[in-house]
Amino acid sequence: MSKKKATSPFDARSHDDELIELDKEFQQFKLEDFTVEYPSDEAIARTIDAMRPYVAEPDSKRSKRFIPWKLHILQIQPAFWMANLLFFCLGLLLWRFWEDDPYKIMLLLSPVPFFLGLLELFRGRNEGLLELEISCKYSAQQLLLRKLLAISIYNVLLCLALIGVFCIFGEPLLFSKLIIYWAAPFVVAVSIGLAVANRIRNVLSVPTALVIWIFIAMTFITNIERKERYGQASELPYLAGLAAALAIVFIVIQIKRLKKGFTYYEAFH
Amino acid sequence: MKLSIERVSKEYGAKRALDNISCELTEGVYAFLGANGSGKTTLMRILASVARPSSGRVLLDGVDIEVLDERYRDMLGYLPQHMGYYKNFTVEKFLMYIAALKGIEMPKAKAKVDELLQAVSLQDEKRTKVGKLSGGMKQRVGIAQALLNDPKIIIVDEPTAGLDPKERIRFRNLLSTIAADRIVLLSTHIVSDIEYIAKELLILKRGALIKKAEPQLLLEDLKDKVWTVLASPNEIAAWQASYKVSSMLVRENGTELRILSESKPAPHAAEAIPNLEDLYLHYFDEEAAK
Amino acid sequence: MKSLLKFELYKIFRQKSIYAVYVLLLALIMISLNAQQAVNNSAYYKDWEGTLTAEKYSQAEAAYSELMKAENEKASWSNEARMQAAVFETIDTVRRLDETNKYSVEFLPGYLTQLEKKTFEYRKNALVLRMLENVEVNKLYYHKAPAEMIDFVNIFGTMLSGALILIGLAPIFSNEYMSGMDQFQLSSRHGRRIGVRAKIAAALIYTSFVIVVWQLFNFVHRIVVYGNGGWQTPLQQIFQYRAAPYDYDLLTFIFVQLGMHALGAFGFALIVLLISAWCRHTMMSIVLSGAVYAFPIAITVFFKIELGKYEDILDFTYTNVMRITSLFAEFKVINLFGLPVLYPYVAIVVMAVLSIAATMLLFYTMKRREVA
Repeated sequence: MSKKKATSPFDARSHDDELIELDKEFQQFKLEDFTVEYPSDEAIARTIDAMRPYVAEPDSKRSKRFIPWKLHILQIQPAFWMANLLFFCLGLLLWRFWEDDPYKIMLLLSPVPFFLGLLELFRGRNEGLLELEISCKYSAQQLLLRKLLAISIYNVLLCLALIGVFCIFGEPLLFSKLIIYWAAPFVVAVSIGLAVANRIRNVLSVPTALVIWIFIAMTFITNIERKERYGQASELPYLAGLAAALAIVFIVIQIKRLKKGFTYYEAFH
Repeated sequence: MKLSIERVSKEYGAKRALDNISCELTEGVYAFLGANGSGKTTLMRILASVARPSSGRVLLDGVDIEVLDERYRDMLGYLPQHMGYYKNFTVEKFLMYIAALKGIEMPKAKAKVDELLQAVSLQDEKRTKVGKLSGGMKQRVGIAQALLNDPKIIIVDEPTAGLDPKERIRFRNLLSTIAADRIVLLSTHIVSDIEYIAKELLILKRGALIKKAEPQLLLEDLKDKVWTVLASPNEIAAWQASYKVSSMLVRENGTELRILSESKPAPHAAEAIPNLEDLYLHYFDEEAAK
Repeated sequence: MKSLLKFELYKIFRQKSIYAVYVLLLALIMISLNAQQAVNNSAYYKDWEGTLTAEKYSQAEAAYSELMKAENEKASWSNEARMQAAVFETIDTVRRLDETNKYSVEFLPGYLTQLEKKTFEYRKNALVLRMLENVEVNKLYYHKAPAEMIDFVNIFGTMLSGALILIGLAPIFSNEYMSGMDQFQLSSRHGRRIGVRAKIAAALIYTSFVIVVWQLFNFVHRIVVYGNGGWQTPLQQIFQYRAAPYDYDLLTFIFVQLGMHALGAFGFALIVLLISAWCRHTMMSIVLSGAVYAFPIAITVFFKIELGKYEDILDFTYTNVMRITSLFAEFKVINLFGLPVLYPYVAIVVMAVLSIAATMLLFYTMKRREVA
C-alpha cells in the first residue's frame, strides 16, 4: 500500500485514522473460523449438468441386454434338459396309466426342474470357473440371472405343457385349483430352493431343498384335504394368493443375496 | 531296501499309459523326467498303491506290495500332483487327520505335527484354514503330511509346479535333507528341481522307460552335441526352424543361442557343456527335430 | 481308530444341510401336528381306567344308552357328550376285540385236530394259538400319547430317518473323491480298512443320533399334549394293530418298534455308504440311495403295481422295515422248511444279512479302489 504523503497536520491525522479503520476491517477477515454455505440442490444439479459433457465414457460397457440366441453361453448341461423332460414324462405316465390326481402330480413334480437347476447355478463355482467368470464380459452375476431365468422359463414351459396335456386328453383343470395346487406352491418351492441354495452353497442344496419340499407338499395336501372336508375350501385361493405374494418377495430378497455372492471372488471364499 | 518295478503296464481303455516298465530303486533320490502325458503320474500312483497295474507288479524287498498291503503303505509318504484338502480344516487339524490315517497315536502325532510345521515354516499358520493358504503354503502342508510317519519311501509328484523360485529352492533344500536312507521318487519336468540332488534320472516317454542312469552319464551322451551360436535378430527364426534351441541369451553383440545338434551347426559355433535342460530338449522336443 | 472316528464324526456333523433339514422338518411336523388341535381328553377315561370286567362292560353299555337317550332329545350333541361317547365306544371295541380273541382261542384247538401234525399248516396254527392265548386286551387307559408316538414312526419318523441318512451319509465317500482327499486315504496305512471301519462306526452313531432326536421330540410333544399315561394299554387297541397277535403293551411295543426301526435304519445307512463308495459324484450317490429308499413307496403309492404273491417281499425292504407296521400288524409267517417263522424275525435276519453283505462289499470296494 503506497503511503500518501501528508500535506497538512489534519491530513496526517485522518490518514492514521484511515489505517486504523482498515486494520480493524482486516481483523474481521482473519481465518480463525468461518462458515461455508452449502450450495442448494439446484446449484449442485446445475453444476453436474454443466460437467456432464466433459465426463469420459467407460471403455467397456457390460451388456445389459439379454440376448436369447446366446443361450449357449449359459452352458447348461444337456443332462439337465433331459432329466427334466423325463420328469415330465413321469408325470404323464402317472396320470395316464396309474390315474393319479393331476393336481397332486403338478404339486409334487412342478418345482423339480428348478431344484435340479440349482446345480447349474453353482456349477461354475464348483468346477473352479468362478474367478474367470467374474472377470468376463458376461459376468458371473449376469450368468447367474440368465441361468435362473432360463431354468425358470423351462420349468414353467414344462408345467404348461403338462397342464395342456391334462386338459386336452382328460378332465379340464379348474383355474382356482391350479392356483392352489400349482402356482402358489411352485412359487413357494422356488423361494425355498433359493433360500437353501443361499445357505448351503454346494451340491447338497438340491436334495435338501427336495426333501423339505416333499415334506411341505405332503403337509400341504393333508391340510387342504382337511379344509375341503370341513367346508373351508373357499378360503384356499386367497390363502394361496397370499402365500404366493409373500414367496415372491422372499424370492427377490434371495436373488439379491445370491447376486451379491457372485460379485466378488472373496464372497465365495 | 529295494523297490523293484517288474514289467509294469497300465491301460485306460484303449490308451496305454505305461508300457512294460522295469527297474530297481534303492536309497537315494530318483527323478522321473518326462513331458506331460508320458506316464509319470500313473507310475507314481502305482508306486503309491493308489492305482493298480494292468500287468506286472511292484516288489519291495522281493514281496509284492499288494501282498504287503498296510505294511507297505506304513512306509509311504505321498504328495500327489493335485493335492486335495478339506478347505474348512485348519492346517493343524488337517495334519492331525492325516496322522490318524497313518496310524500315529495322538500324543506322538501332536509332537510330530508341531515339528514338521517348524520344518516347513508354517508354525504361524497352524490355525489357518487350508483353503485360505497360498499355493506355496498348501504345497508345504502337503510335504509336511508326507513326512508325518517318517516314511522310508517318499513319492512326490510334480511338487514344485506353481511355486515361486523361493519356494522351489526351499523345497529342494528340504528334499536334500530328508533324502538320506530313504527312497525318494520325484517326478517333474522342471529340471532345476533335480539338477543337484538326483542320484539317477528315469526318462519316460509315451509310457515307456527310455533311459535310467546317473545324470552325469546321461549328460556324457550329449557331449559334442551342445553348441552356442551368436545370431542376429533376423537369423533367430531360421536357427529355430532348423535346430533344437534350448535357450536364448541376449548379449551386446547379438543373441546367444544354445543349440542341440549332432554336428557343428556353423563354423563360428562353440561347443558348450551340456546341462539337464539340454537333456530334456534332446529327448522331448519332437517338433524341432522335424 | 478312536481319533479317526472323531474326525469322521466331525466331518458328518459339520454339514450344515443336516441341521437345516432337521430343524425345518421338525418345525413343519410341529405345525402340522398342532394344526390338528389335539386335546388331552384323559379326564373322560379316569372313571373307567384299569382292567375291564364283565361288570364294567355292562355298566358302560348302560351308561352309553342313557347318554344316547339324553343327547338325542337335544338339537345336537354337546362336546362333553361326544367325548363321553368316545370312551364308551372304545370300551365296546375292547369288548369285541376280547370276544374275537376268545373265539379264536376256542376255535383253534379243534381246528388243529383236523390237521396233520408236523406239517407247516399245523405248526402255523399252533403258533398263532400259543400267541393268542397270551394276549390280554381287557384293559382301558387313555393311551393317546403312546398311540401317537407309535403312529409317528410309520410316516414322519421313517421320513426323517431316510432324509437325514441320505443327506448326512450319501456324501461320505463321494466327497473324498471330489475333494481329492482319496489320494491321501488310499495311500495311507489305515485308509483302506481301519479308516473304512471308522466311517461305518461314525455312520451308525450318526444314524442313532438322528433316531434319538426325533424320538425325543416325539415323546416330549405327545406327553405335553396328551399327558403321561396309557403305557400299559394292549397293542391291539391301536387301530392298525387290531389283528396283531403279539402280547405287547404300548410301552414294550415302542421299544420293539424303536429297535426294529433302528435295524432298518442301520441297514439303510450301510447301503448308502456302499453306494457312496461306488459313486464319484455326490449327486449320483444321493440319487441312487434315494431310489433305494423310495422304491417300495413308489411301487405301492405312485405306480400302484400289483405284485401278487411277491408283494410281501416289499415288507423286508429298508423303508418298510423302518416303518414296521406291515411286520407287526397281522400274524404273518414264512415257510422255512416246514417251520413257520414270524415276519419280524425274518426282517431281523434279512436286515442282518443285507447289512453284513453291504459291509463286506464296502471293504472289498475300498481295498480295490483306485484314484481316477
